[in-house]
Amino acid sequence: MTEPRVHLAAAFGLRWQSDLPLDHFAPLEQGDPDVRVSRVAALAERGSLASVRRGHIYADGTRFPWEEEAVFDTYAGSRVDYLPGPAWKGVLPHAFYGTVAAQVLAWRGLIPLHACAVEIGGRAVLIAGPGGAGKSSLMSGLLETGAALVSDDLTAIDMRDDAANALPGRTTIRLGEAVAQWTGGMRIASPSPATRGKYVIRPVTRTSAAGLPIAALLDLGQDAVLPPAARAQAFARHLFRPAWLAALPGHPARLQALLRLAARVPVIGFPAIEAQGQAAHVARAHAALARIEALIAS
Amino acid sequence: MGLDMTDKLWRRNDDWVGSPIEDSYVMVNIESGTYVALNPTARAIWEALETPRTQAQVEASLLSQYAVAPDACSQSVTKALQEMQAQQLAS
Repeated sequence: MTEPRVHLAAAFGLRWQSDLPLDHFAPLEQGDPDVRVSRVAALAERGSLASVRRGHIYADGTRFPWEEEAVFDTYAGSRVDYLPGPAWKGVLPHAFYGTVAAQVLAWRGLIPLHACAVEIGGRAVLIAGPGGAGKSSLMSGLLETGAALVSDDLTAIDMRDDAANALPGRTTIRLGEAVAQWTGGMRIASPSPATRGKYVIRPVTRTSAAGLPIAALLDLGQDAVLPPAARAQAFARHLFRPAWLAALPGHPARLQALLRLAARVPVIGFPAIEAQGQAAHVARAHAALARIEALIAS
Repeated sequence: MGLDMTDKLWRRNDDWVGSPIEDSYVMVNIESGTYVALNPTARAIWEALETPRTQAQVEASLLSQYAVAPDACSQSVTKALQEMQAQQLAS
Protein backbone atom coordinates (compact mmCIF):
# COMPACT_ATOMS: atom_id res chain seq x y z
CA MET A 1 0.00 0.00 0.00
CA THR A 2 1.41 3.34 -0.95
CA GLU A 3 0.68 6.56 0.85
CA PRO A 4 -0.35 9.52 -1.26
CA ARG A 5 2.74 11.62 -1.85
CA VAL A 6 2.74 15.10 -0.38
CA HIS A 7 5.51 17.51 -1.24
CA LEU A 8 6.23 20.43 1.04
CA ALA A 9 8.53 23.32 0.13
CA ALA A 10 9.30 26.92 1.01
CA ALA A 11 9.40 29.90 -1.33
CA PHE A 12 8.52 33.60 -1.19
CA GLY A 13 7.98 33.44 2.57
CA LEU A 14 5.29 30.75 2.18
CA ARG A 15 5.04 27.00 2.74
CA TRP A 16 3.66 25.27 -0.33
CA GLN A 17 2.15 21.79 -0.29
CA SER A 18 1.61 19.94 -3.54
CA ASP A 19 0.70 16.54 -4.90
CA LEU A 20 3.54 16.96 -7.41
CA PRO A 21 7.23 17.71 -6.68
CA LEU A 22 8.02 21.40 -6.23
CA ASP A 23 11.40 21.10 -7.94
CA HIS A 24 12.25 24.81 -7.92
CA PHE A 25 11.37 25.56 -4.31
CA ALA A 26 13.33 24.68 -1.13
CA PRO A 27 12.18 21.30 0.28
CA LEU A 28 10.73 21.27 3.80
CA GLU A 29 10.31 18.31 6.14
CA GLN A 30 7.21 19.55 7.92
CA GLY A 31 4.97 22.50 8.66
CA ASP A 32 1.44 23.67 8.05
CA PRO A 33 1.07 24.79 4.45
CA ASP A 34 0.07 28.33 3.51
CA VAL A 35 -0.73 27.29 -0.07
CA ARG A 36 -2.12 23.92 -1.18
CA VAL A 37 -1.57 22.84 -4.79
CA SER A 38 -3.58 19.92 -6.11
CA ARG A 39 -4.86 18.35 -9.29
CA VAL A 40 -8.57 18.51 -9.99
CA ALA A 41 -10.72 16.53 -12.41
CA ALA A 42 -12.70 19.60 -13.43
CA LEU A 43 -12.57 23.32 -12.85
CA ALA A 44 -15.19 24.95 -10.65
CA GLU A 45 -17.80 27.26 -12.16
CA ARG A 46 -16.75 30.78 -11.18
CA GLY A 47 -18.26 34.12 -12.11
CA SER A 48 -15.68 36.15 -14.03
CA LEU A 49 -15.22 39.77 -12.95
CA ALA A 50 -12.64 40.58 -15.60
CA SER A 51 -10.51 38.86 -18.19
CA VAL A 52 -6.76 39.23 -18.55
CA ARG A 53 -5.39 37.82 -21.80
CA ARG A 54 -6.77 34.26 -21.80
CA GLY A 55 -7.30 34.26 -18.03
CA HIS A 56 -9.92 35.52 -15.62
CA ILE A 57 -10.19 37.32 -12.33
CA TYR A 58 -12.81 36.27 -9.83
CA ALA A 59 -13.98 37.66 -6.51
CA ASP A 60 -11.87 35.02 -4.76
CA GLY A 61 -8.96 34.43 -7.14
CA THR A 62 -7.76 33.87 -10.68
CA ARG A 63 -7.82 31.44 -13.60
CA PHE A 64 -4.69 31.15 -15.72
CA PRO A 65 -4.43 28.81 -18.70
CA TRP A 66 -0.84 27.93 -19.54
CA GLU A 67 -0.54 26.99 -23.20
CA GLU A 68 -2.09 23.55 -23.61
CA GLU A 69 -0.38 22.14 -20.53
CA ALA A 70 -2.70 23.07 -17.69
CA VAL A 71 -5.22 25.56 -16.36
CA PHE A 72 -4.52 26.97 -12.90
CA ASP A 73 -7.22 28.25 -10.57
CA THR A 74 -6.06 30.20 -7.52
CA TYR A 75 -8.24 30.84 -4.49
CA ALA A 76 -7.58 33.61 -1.97
CA GLY A 77 -3.82 33.21 -2.24
CA SER A 78 -4.04 29.94 -0.34
CA ARG A 79 -5.07 27.27 -2.84
CA VAL A 80 -4.06 26.41 -6.39
CA ASP A 81 -6.02 23.85 -8.41
CA TYR A 82 -4.59 22.62 -11.68
CA LEU A 83 -6.38 20.82 -14.47
CA PRO A 84 -4.00 19.06 -16.87
CA GLY A 85 -4.52 19.84 -20.54
CA PRO A 86 -3.76 17.95 -23.79
CA ALA A 87 -0.04 18.83 -23.62
CA TRP A 88 0.37 17.97 -19.91
CA LYS A 89 3.90 16.71 -19.18
CA GLY A 90 3.37 15.33 -15.69
CA VAL A 91 5.24 18.11 -13.87
CA LEU A 92 4.29 21.59 -12.79
CA PRO A 93 5.32 23.81 -15.71
CA HIS A 94 7.64 26.75 -15.22
CA ALA A 95 4.67 29.13 -15.44
CA PHE A 96 3.52 27.74 -12.10
CA TYR A 97 6.72 29.04 -10.48
CA GLY A 98 6.27 32.40 -12.22
CA THR A 99 2.83 33.75 -13.14
CA VAL A 100 0.82 31.48 -10.83
CA ALA A 101 3.13 32.10 -7.87
CA ALA A 102 2.99 35.86 -8.57
CA GLN A 103 -0.82 35.79 -8.48
CA VAL A 104 -0.74 34.01 -5.12
CA LEU A 105 1.79 36.52 -3.78
CA ALA A 106 -0.18 39.52 -5.00
CA TRP A 107 -3.38 38.17 -3.47
CA ARG A 108 -1.55 37.98 -0.15
CA GLY A 109 -0.41 41.61 -0.33
CA LEU A 110 3.16 40.91 -1.44
CA ILE A 111 4.66 42.70 -4.44
CA PRO A 112 5.93 40.46 -7.23
CA LEU A 113 8.77 42.11 -9.13
CA HIS A 114 10.31 40.93 -12.39
CA ALA A 115 13.80 40.95 -10.95
CA CYS A 116 16.59 38.67 -9.82
CA ALA A 117 17.99 39.11 -6.33
CA VAL A 118 21.25 38.24 -4.59
CA GLU A 119 22.39 38.62 -1.00
CA ILE A 120 25.45 40.80 -0.49
CA GLY A 121 26.55 41.80 3.01
CA GLY A 122 23.28 40.67 4.57
CA ARG A 123 21.13 42.73 2.21
CA ALA A 124 19.33 42.00 -1.01
CA VAL A 125 20.35 43.59 -4.29
CA LEU A 126 17.65 43.44 -6.97
CA ILE A 127 18.62 43.18 -10.64
CA ALA A 128 15.98 44.21 -13.16
CA GLY A 129 15.90 45.13 -16.82
CA PRO A 130 14.34 44.26 -20.14
CA GLY A 131 14.65 40.79 -21.64
CA GLY A 132 18.14 40.22 -22.96
CA ALA A 133 19.72 42.86 -20.69
CA GLY A 134 21.60 40.14 -18.82
CA LYS A 135 19.85 39.91 -15.43
CA SER A 136 20.47 36.22 -14.78
CA SER A 137 23.93 36.45 -16.30
CA LEU A 138 24.89 39.28 -13.95
CA MET A 139 23.40 37.40 -11.03
CA SER A 140 25.44 34.34 -11.97
CA GLY A 141 28.60 36.47 -12.07
CA LEU A 142 27.80 37.94 -8.66
CA LEU A 143 27.25 34.44 -7.23
CA GLU A 144 30.80 33.60 -8.34
CA THR A 145 32.09 36.59 -6.37
CA GLY A 146 30.53 35.19 -3.17
CA ALA A 147 26.99 36.56 -3.29
CA ALA A 148 24.14 34.19 -2.36
CA LEU A 149 21.05 33.45 -4.46
CA VAL A 150 17.83 35.05 -3.24
CA SER A 151 15.67 34.55 -6.33
CA ASP A 152 15.74 34.36 -10.10
CA ASP A 153 13.34 36.23 -12.38
CA LEU A 154 10.54 36.68 -9.79
CA THR A 155 11.27 38.38 -6.48
CA ALA A 156 8.63 38.87 -3.79
CA ILE A 157 8.81 42.14 -1.90
CA ASP A 158 7.22 42.34 1.52
CA MET A 159 6.22 45.93 2.33
CA ARG A 160 3.86 44.93 5.14
CA ASP A 161 4.45 46.10 8.70
CA ASP A 162 6.64 48.92 7.42
CA ALA A 163 9.23 46.44 6.14
CA ALA A 164 10.94 46.52 2.76
CA ASN A 165 12.24 42.98 2.48
CA ALA A 166 13.02 40.66 -0.39
CA LEU A 167 11.81 37.11 0.26
CA PRO A 168 13.84 34.15 -1.06
CA GLY A 169 12.20 32.65 -4.12
CA ARG A 170 13.12 29.84 -6.45
CA THR A 171 16.26 27.86 -5.66
CA THR A 172 17.16 27.54 -9.33
CA ILE A 173 18.22 29.87 -12.12
CA ARG A 174 17.87 29.59 -15.87
CA LEU A 175 20.99 30.36 -17.87
CA GLY A 176 22.26 30.19 -21.42
CA GLU A 177 24.85 27.56 -22.23
CA ALA A 178 28.00 29.63 -21.83
CA VAL A 179 27.02 31.26 -18.55
CA ALA A 180 25.78 27.91 -17.22
CA GLN A 181 29.27 26.51 -17.75
CA TRP A 182 30.77 29.31 -15.66
CA THR A 183 28.26 28.91 -12.84
CA GLY A 184 28.82 26.50 -9.96
CA GLY A 185 25.95 24.33 -8.80
CA MET A 186 23.86 21.34 -9.68
CA ARG A 187 22.53 21.12 -13.21
CA ILE A 188 18.81 20.33 -12.90
CA ALA A 189 17.76 20.42 -16.55
CA SER A 190 19.24 20.82 -20.01
CA PRO A 191 17.84 23.05 -22.73
CA SER A 192 14.37 22.08 -23.93
CA PRO A 193 11.18 23.88 -24.97
CA ALA A 194 10.05 23.64 -21.32
CA THR A 195 13.14 25.57 -20.18
CA ARG A 196 12.94 28.04 -23.08
CA GLY A 197 16.22 26.62 -24.34
CA LYS A 198 18.08 27.34 -21.10
CA TYR A 199 20.02 25.26 -18.60
CA VAL A 200 18.52 25.13 -15.12
CA ILE A 201 21.11 25.33 -12.34
CA ARG A 202 20.70 25.11 -8.57
CA PRO A 203 23.55 27.22 -7.18
CA VAL A 204 25.29 26.00 -4.06
CA THR A 205 25.27 29.34 -2.29
CA ARG A 206 21.73 30.32 -1.43
CA THR A 207 20.58 32.70 1.23
CA SER A 208 19.55 31.23 4.55
CA ALA A 209 17.65 34.37 5.59
CA ALA A 210 13.86 34.39 5.74
CA GLY A 211 13.83 37.93 4.36
CA LEU A 212 16.45 40.53 3.51
CA PRO A 213 16.30 44.32 3.64
CA ILE A 214 16.80 45.69 0.14
CA ALA A 215 20.01 47.60 -0.49
CA ALA A 216 19.38 48.73 -4.06
CA LEU A 217 17.81 48.01 -7.43
CA LEU A 218 20.26 47.66 -10.30
CA ASP A 219 18.27 48.79 -13.33
CA LEU A 220 20.01 47.41 -16.40
CA GLY A 221 20.18 49.68 -19.41
CA GLN A 222 19.19 52.83 -17.48
CA ASP A 223 21.08 56.03 -16.72
CA ALA A 224 23.28 56.06 -13.64
CA VAL A 225 21.19 58.39 -11.49
CA LEU A 226 17.42 58.40 -11.52
CA PRO A 227 15.39 61.31 -10.08
CA PRO A 228 12.62 60.43 -7.59
CA ALA A 229 9.70 60.18 -10.02
CA ALA A 230 11.76 58.06 -12.42
CA ARG A 231 12.85 55.87 -9.53
CA ALA A 232 9.22 55.17 -8.61
CA GLN A 233 8.50 54.49 -12.27
CA ALA A 234 11.42 52.08 -12.41
CA PHE A 235 9.88 49.89 -9.71
CA ALA A 236 6.47 50.02 -11.39
CA ARG A 237 8.05 49.13 -14.75
CA HIS A 238 9.45 45.98 -13.20
CA LEU A 239 6.23 44.61 -11.73
CA PHE A 240 5.86 40.94 -12.62
CA ARG A 241 3.06 40.39 -15.17
CA PRO A 242 1.81 43.99 -14.84
CA ALA A 243 -1.45 43.41 -16.77
CA TRP A 244 -2.47 40.81 -14.20
CA LEU A 245 -1.43 42.93 -11.25
CA ALA A 246 -3.29 45.98 -12.52
CA ALA A 247 -6.49 43.92 -12.69
CA LEU A 248 -6.10 42.19 -9.30
CA PRO A 249 -7.67 43.70 -6.19
CA GLY A 250 -5.56 46.06 -4.10
CA HIS A 251 -3.64 47.60 -6.99
CA PRO A 252 -3.80 51.18 -5.60
CA ALA A 253 -2.29 49.90 -2.36
CA ARG A 254 0.35 48.06 -4.40
CA LEU A 255 1.28 51.23 -6.30
CA GLN A 256 1.44 53.17 -3.05
CA ALA A 257 3.70 50.48 -1.58
CA LEU A 258 5.93 50.85 -4.65
CA LEU A 259 6.22 54.58 -3.92
CA ARG A 260 7.28 53.77 -0.36
CA LEU A 261 9.76 51.25 -1.75
CA ALA A 262 11.16 53.88 -4.12
CA ALA A 263 11.49 56.27 -1.18
CA ARG A 264 13.69 53.79 0.68
CA VAL A 265 15.63 51.94 -1.99
CA PRO A 266 18.05 53.61 -4.38
CA VAL A 267 17.90 52.70 -8.06
CA ILE A 268 21.26 52.43 -9.78
CA GLY A 269 21.45 52.41 -13.53
CA PHE A 270 23.88 49.82 -14.87
CA PRO A 271 24.80 48.91 -18.44
CA ALA A 272 22.98 46.06 -20.14
CA ILE A 273 25.18 43.18 -21.24
CA GLU A 274 27.37 44.09 -24.22
CA ALA A 275 30.41 41.85 -24.57
CA GLN A 276 30.38 38.06 -24.60
CA GLY A 277 33.02 35.74 -23.16
CA GLN A 278 34.00 34.70 -19.66
CA ALA A 279 36.43 37.58 -19.06
CA ALA A 280 33.72 40.14 -19.83
CA HIS A 281 31.27 38.17 -17.71
CA VAL A 282 33.59 38.28 -14.69
CA ALA A 283 34.52 41.93 -15.24
CA ARG A 284 30.86 42.94 -15.42
CA ALA A 285 30.11 41.21 -12.11
CA HIS A 286 33.08 42.90 -10.43
CA ALA A 287 32.04 46.30 -11.77
CA ALA A 288 28.53 45.78 -10.41
CA LEU A 289 29.89 44.58 -7.08
CA ALA A 290 32.10 47.66 -6.76
CA ARG A 291 29.07 49.88 -7.46
CA ILE A 292 26.96 48.03 -4.88
CA GLU A 293 29.68 48.01 -2.21
CA ALA A 294 30.27 51.74 -2.65
CA LEU A 295 26.57 52.34 -2.19
CA ILE A 296 26.32 50.14 0.90
CA ALA A 297 29.37 51.89 2.42
CA SER A 298 27.95 55.36 1.78
CA MET B 1 -17.76 90.33 -13.55
CA GLY B 2 -18.09 86.69 -14.64
CA LEU B 3 -17.52 83.58 -12.63
CA ASP B 4 -14.59 84.25 -10.33
CA MET B 5 -12.17 81.35 -10.22
CA THR B 6 -12.10 81.72 -6.43
CA ASP B 7 -15.76 80.58 -6.31
CA LYS B 8 -14.86 77.24 -7.80
CA LEU B 9 -14.72 74.35 -5.38
CA TRP B 10 -11.47 72.52 -6.11
CA ARG B 11 -11.28 68.83 -5.39
CA ARG B 12 -8.66 66.13 -5.71
CA ASN B 13 -8.79 63.52 -8.42
CA ASP B 14 -8.89 60.32 -6.34
CA ASP B 15 -7.12 58.35 -9.08
CA TRP B 16 -3.80 59.59 -7.67
CA VAL B 17 -1.76 58.29 -4.74
CA GLY B 18 1.48 59.85 -3.55
CA SER B 19 4.47 59.52 -1.29
CA PRO B 20 7.49 61.68 -0.42
CA ILE B 21 10.70 60.51 -2.09
CA GLU B 22 13.74 62.48 -0.97
CA ASP B 23 12.87 66.17 -1.51
CA SER B 24 10.05 65.42 -3.95
CA TYR B 25 6.47 64.33 -3.57
CA VAL B 26 5.85 61.70 -6.24
CA MET B 27 2.36 60.75 -7.32
CA VAL B 28 1.10 57.93 -9.50
CA ASN B 29 -2.22 57.74 -11.30
CA ILE B 30 -3.62 54.32 -10.47
CA GLU B 31 -5.67 54.20 -13.66
CA SER B 32 -3.12 55.36 -16.21
CA GLY B 33 0.15 54.57 -14.41
CA THR B 34 1.35 58.13 -15.03
CA TYR B 35 3.91 59.50 -12.57
CA VAL B 36 4.45 63.13 -11.61
CA ALA B 37 6.64 64.87 -9.05
CA LEU B 38 4.89 67.75 -7.26
CA ASN B 39 6.74 70.94 -6.41
CA PRO B 40 6.34 72.21 -2.81
CA THR B 41 3.43 74.53 -3.70
CA ALA B 42 1.52 71.80 -5.53
CA ARG B 43 2.14 69.41 -2.67
CA ALA B 44 0.82 71.92 -0.12
CA ILE B 45 -2.26 72.45 -2.29
CA TRP B 46 -2.79 68.71 -2.68
CA GLU B 47 -2.71 68.33 1.09
CA ALA B 48 -5.02 71.32 1.58
CA LEU B 49 -7.49 69.67 -0.82
CA GLU B 50 -7.99 66.70 1.45
CA THR B 51 -11.46 68.18 1.60
CA PRO B 52 -12.75 70.23 -1.37
CA ARG B 53 -11.97 73.93 -1.01
CA THR B 54 -12.19 77.18 -2.94
CA GLN B 55 -8.98 78.84 -4.07
CA ALA B 56 -9.44 81.47 -1.35
CA GLN B 57 -9.69 78.73 1.26
CA VAL B 58 -6.60 77.01 -0.15
CA GLU B 59 -4.69 80.31 -0.01
CA ALA B 60 -5.83 80.90 3.58
CA SER B 61 -4.66 77.43 4.52
CA LEU B 62 -1.22 78.01 2.96
CA LEU B 63 -0.89 81.49 4.48
CA SER B 64 -1.52 80.00 7.93
CA GLN B 65 1.28 77.47 7.41
CA TYR B 66 3.96 79.33 5.48
CA ALA B 67 5.61 82.74 5.81
CA VAL B 68 4.59 84.15 2.44
CA ALA B 69 3.04 87.43 1.28
CA PRO B 70 -0.67 87.13 0.31
CA ASP B 71 -0.10 88.44 -3.24
CA ALA B 72 2.75 86.02 -3.90
CA CYS B 73 0.72 83.18 -2.39
CA SER B 74 -2.23 83.96 -4.62
CA GLN B 75 -0.05 84.06 -7.75
CA SER B 76 1.63 80.75 -6.88
CA VAL B 77 -1.65 79.03 -6.06
CA THR B 78 -3.31 80.27 -9.26
CA LYS B 79 -0.43 78.95 -11.36
CA ALA B 80 -0.20 75.65 -9.48
CA LEU B 81 -3.95 75.00 -9.66
CA GLN B 82 -3.86 75.57 -13.43
CA GLU B 83 -1.05 73.07 -13.77
CA MET B 84 -2.78 70.58 -11.47
CA GLN B 85 -5.91 70.89 -13.58
CA ALA B 86 -3.90 70.31 -16.75
CA GLN B 87 -2.33 67.20 -15.19
CA GLN B 88 -5.78 66.05 -14.03
CA LEU B 89 -4.64 66.05 -10.41
CA ALA B 90 -7.46 68.35 -9.37
CA SER B 91 -10.54 69.84 -10.94
